[in-house]
Amino acid sequence: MEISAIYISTVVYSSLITVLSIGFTLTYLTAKIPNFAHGTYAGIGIYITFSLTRLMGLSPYVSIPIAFLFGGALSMLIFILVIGTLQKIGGGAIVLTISTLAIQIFMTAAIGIYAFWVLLTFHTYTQPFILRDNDIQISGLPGVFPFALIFCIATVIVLHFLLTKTNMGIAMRATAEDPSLASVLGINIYRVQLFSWFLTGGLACLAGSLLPLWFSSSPITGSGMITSIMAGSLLGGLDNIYGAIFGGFVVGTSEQLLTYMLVGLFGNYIGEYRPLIPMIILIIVLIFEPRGLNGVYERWQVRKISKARVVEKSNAQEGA
Amino acid sequence: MEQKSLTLVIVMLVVGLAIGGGLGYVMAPTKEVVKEVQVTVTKNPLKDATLKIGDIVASTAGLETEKPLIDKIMVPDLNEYVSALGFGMKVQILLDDAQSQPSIHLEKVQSFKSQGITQIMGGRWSSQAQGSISYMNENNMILVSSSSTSPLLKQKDNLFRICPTDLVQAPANAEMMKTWGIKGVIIFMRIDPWGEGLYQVIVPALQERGIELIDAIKYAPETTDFSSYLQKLEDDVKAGVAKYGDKKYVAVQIFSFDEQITFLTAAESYPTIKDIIWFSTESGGRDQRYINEIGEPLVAKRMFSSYMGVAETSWKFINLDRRFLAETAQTAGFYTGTTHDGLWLMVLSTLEAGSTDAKDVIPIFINVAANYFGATGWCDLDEFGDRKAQVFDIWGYYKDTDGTVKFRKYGEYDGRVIQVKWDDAALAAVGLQRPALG
Repeated sequence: MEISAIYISTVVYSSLITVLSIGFTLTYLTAKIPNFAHGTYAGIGIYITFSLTRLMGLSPYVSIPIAFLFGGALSMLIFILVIGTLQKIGGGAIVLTISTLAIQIFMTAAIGIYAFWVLLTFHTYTQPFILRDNDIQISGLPGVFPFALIFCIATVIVLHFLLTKTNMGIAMRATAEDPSLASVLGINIYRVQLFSWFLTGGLACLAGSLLPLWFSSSPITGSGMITSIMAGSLLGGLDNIYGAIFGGFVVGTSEQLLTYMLVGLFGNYIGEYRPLIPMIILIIVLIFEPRGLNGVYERWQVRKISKARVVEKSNAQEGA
Repeated sequence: MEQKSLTLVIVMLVVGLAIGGGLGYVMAPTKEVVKEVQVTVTKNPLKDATLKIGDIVASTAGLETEKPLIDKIMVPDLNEYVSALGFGMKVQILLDDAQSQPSIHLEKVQSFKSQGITQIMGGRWSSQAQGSISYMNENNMILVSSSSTSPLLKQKDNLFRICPTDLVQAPANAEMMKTWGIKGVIIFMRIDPWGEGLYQVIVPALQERGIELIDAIKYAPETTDFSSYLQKLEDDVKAGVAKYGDKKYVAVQIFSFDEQITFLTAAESYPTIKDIIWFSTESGGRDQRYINEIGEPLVAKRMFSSYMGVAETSWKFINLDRRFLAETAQTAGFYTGTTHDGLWLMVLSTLEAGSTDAKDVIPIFINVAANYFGATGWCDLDEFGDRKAQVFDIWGYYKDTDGTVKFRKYGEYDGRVIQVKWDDAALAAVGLQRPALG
């Protein structure tokens, strides 16, 4: 089977951005802050795959569970040491948001140090690198192509099940709605937040671990994706996980396919402006619909209900 | 009568003496007044001095080879030489990293200046040299670059480049393509002073040789994902092949740095460009990293690179190459040689000037360079402080009989007479044959 490389790029990139956007939204819902370090977890996943593949000679897919657990544990550690501590001493939303920026800078530097250490120690080229040669082939297609898509779909299904069918999921939704009220009802907010940070950190790291199988990667690749992740999350509506699925896919597809199409239409110079695409999406959403597609959906729902009530009322009046 | 005559003689004698004395007084040179002045001559102005040179690598990856080169080879060699001459000066080289950013390069330059360091080995990428040179001119600092080649920086300033500019290299690549029978080319390049400099020189060079520039795909240096660019390249190459009838008439010319390692690997996913002929500059040739990272796909792409020739047979280069290989497990390339030569020139100029201050070194640098034979040969610089045109080697990759990928010299380009000489025997030895030119 042969699929043009640009479509493979689009599907892989969009799938990974979608998972990252879902995680970003979930963190926002439970901790009420945008986590600017979210993309950097993906950067850690990138180097987990690199280390296992290039240094230890293992299959890149071995990194999937390792990246998930490592990312989740690291994210929990960050929550306990930084976010949780700042919350306890009364740090507000602004302090917490800025602290995530500091975490992002710290972690990016740590990845850079690790990459340099590997370079000096093993004489292996660590930045930029790509692991296409290490990927498996499935029916003539690179393994990451179906894997990324399956991973994205599985994440959506598992999250849906978790949020609707399990006690932890219900507690997470309650915390997202109103943390004070959830606390009064006996929900341990701290534990819920800790779990959600584990989940989002793990998913982000896992998404990152698949990235170098198709895309060029370096220590700043993960942190550099934060604009796209935020655009996807904001487009879907920051307070709706299902919106993030749609938002992530739109942003990912736009960056890949739209750039290629615009280059064909207007010329090669358009390609230089690819990083502007998520920026433009962010600006448009913030100006015209700050609550994203979720806001549009809610307004549509309200109108539908109002219309139904008007009809009901007029029917009742006619009946009377 | 006799007495009268005697009186007249005496009078005339007196008058003559008076006139002669007067004239003699007026015409006599002024009397020199000898003044005693005490001049203190310092016997050895550099005694107990320390020459601190700031060394800024272009990207973090460069530290891998630069650190052992500096610590294990350059600093010991330079100090041994200075000490043997009895100068009593010490040479220190402080290493830093511009992290691929011109702005960070400038920050590092400013940081060195604040430490009193005015001699910098850096500006390895033209964009980084361009971003810092104004500041360095204003502050009497010297910037010696081992690898900046953009013609856009050809000015009389404090930048001295130990490598020739692209005014020599771009025609070399155009001539390589012409002699290989290429009819259409797509340029795939980064947008920075180096890439733009090469582009501006190669476009007329291609036109002169009747090679069509099918397209130029330019990407920002920060780009990490090349998917859409490679797809466009694939489309362009397909169109070129359709027009000229065969893949052998179409080529890709890349002006890229280390990012080409990833996009050359990624190009394997595109059916047309994966085995088209790629021409490259020095950053793609004769490099063990390319073999380690990309491997076999390099063979199908040929990757003919114009690579500034080193003084291969000179003891200086052989010695440097042997020691560099022992320290880094990589062979020394042209830019290893220019770094070596640049640092030597800074030290020799300092000794000649009797001062570690760059403002004393700058006026004599070109003269010192003209008389220096280094690992890369005679380091003659032009009036702008740039290395004069020399011979470029043509390198490419091939698969050896044992299955390993290796690099090999396939010919030469003489920048002085604008002529390419392919080594047909070397090509034939690896199963390559130069197409017959129609």
